[in-house]
Amino acid sequence: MSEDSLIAPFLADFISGPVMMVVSTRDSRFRATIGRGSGAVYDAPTGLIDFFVSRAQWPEVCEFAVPGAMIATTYVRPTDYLCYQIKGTIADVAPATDTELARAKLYVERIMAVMETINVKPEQLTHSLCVGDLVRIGFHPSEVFTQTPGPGAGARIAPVVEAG
Amino acid sequence: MSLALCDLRNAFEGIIPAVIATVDDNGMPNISYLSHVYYVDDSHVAISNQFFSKTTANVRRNGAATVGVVDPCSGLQYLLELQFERAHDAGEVFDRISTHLDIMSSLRGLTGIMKLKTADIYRVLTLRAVHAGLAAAAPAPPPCNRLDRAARVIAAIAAEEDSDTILDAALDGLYDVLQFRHVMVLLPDEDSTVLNTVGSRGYSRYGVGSEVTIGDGLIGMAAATKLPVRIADMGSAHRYVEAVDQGGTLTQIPLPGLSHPHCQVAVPMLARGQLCGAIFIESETPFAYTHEDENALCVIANQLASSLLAAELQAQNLTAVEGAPVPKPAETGTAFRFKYYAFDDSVFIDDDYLIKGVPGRLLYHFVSAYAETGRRDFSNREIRREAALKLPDFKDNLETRLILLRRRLDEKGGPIRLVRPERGLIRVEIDACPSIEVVAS
Repeated sequence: MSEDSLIAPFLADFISGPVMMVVSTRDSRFRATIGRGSGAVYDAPTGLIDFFVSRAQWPEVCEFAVPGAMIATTYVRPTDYLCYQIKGTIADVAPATDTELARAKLYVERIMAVMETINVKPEQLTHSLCVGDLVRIGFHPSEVFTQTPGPGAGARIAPVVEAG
Repeated sequence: MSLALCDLRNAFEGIIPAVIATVDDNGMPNISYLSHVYYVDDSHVAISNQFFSKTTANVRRNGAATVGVVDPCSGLQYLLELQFERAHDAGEVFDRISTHLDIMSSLRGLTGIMKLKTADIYRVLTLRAVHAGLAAAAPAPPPCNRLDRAARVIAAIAAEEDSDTILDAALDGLYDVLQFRHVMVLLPDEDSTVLNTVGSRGYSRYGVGSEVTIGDGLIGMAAATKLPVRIADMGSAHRYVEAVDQGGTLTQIPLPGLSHPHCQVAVPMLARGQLCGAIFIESETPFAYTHEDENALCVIANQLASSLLAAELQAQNLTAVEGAPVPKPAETGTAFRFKYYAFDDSVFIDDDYLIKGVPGRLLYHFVSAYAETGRRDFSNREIRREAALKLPDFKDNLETRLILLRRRLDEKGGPIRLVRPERGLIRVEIDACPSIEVVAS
């Protein structure tokens, strides 16, 4: 399977929508880091997923997010737990541009609205959705797994082509 | 001030799902959501292993995991570095997690899907707060002294001798002293398949005689597993009591539950290792009850169980003084129909369901004796010896059956009442002439 076909249109839309997202890199001890994402977008021409993280809040994730390092990201739709994990190799890391920062702020507004529909209050999430010192981590996706709770969680999947 | 694991217990509730990350042999991270992290002791947590197989595989190889949790009250986040120690597929921690998962999956309509494989025990190597994105929320007000208050309730229960007053001491203490504003006490029936509500506080009706099948829902699971169950924030879509409240049959009395509960706790009442009942509290406020509340409730529940058991044993040896027969008073009310179904001992008064089982059998015995002879007084000792009542030879729990019957009659508001002129004696008061109909099995 080529990398280009790995992220089907539905999955590209899914990860750029109002879904909760987390990210992990690893440190020199082979211990995983954890951070929360503040938006993601798939760029079909380059085949890269741009994943946005607050360096201020998640310094370990960003410290070990270097070109060539491996990365795992997970996206879940809070309303029905539809969940995918996308793994890959980091291509480049850079401070977010103003446009990217604005996009991240829009993402935060949208996911807050979704969470309120399932009775999660804004104050429960204000520390989880941070855009301070925002960093863009661009990575080449290499594997996609379904992680919706159930016996099929963790299964490697073919390109996702239809809505769940 | 350094963080302690017990400070994070609210963050382990899974209201905002926790996250676990591991690394495989090639250095590739894996990151998953998980429903709950369970506090084990000051240096250990347990994580439910249901279906995150890659996480399990990575941990079994190198033992390392990192977990992120969110305190749902403050929104603050914490990171824990964990070292895997062992996996349990049985035992207290496994049972506690399994029960909690069964209830949560039932509430989410996912019964059977979140089946626990193992409870994985991890040592906590490091614990730290994540930099807050905004100014941290104001700290929670200090909790009231639960131990002190629980001790007062226990002392009040222990001071009583009679099952009725023991029960009232418990209910009043839970309501007034611990300020649990919605509370029920339920006791098992003769087959230990159903719990019957024998008293409540804080509801629009007492709901005496309402039933919960052991094994069903929050209360039934706590009884079946003999473990406490606490749901900190149920969400408006998951209302156990409301579900129980629906679909009643002719012989079902609805539980007196809240229509919009957010926080519920059910704890078993245990004495000598045996299930003697359950206490249930609930609130419309998320996180209304803490782990300290749960612990206080457990201690009180066990005291209540022991006191009721002691009262039962003592009552078996009581000999009421046989006084002169009490004359049958003039009946002032309108005649009523008393219908008794022998197959399940259910009793209906003027076609309204009243009660069934042993309490129904007892009531039929009292009312038929009254109708035939005008007799009103019955001693516990003779009740136990009456072959027609088919009470078990021992552990008949007659006292609690009588409490259930008496309180159910009181809630019904006539025309029959039971009173206790003295310990070991029951007096039947009937306002009108009963027209008894028996439906054979």
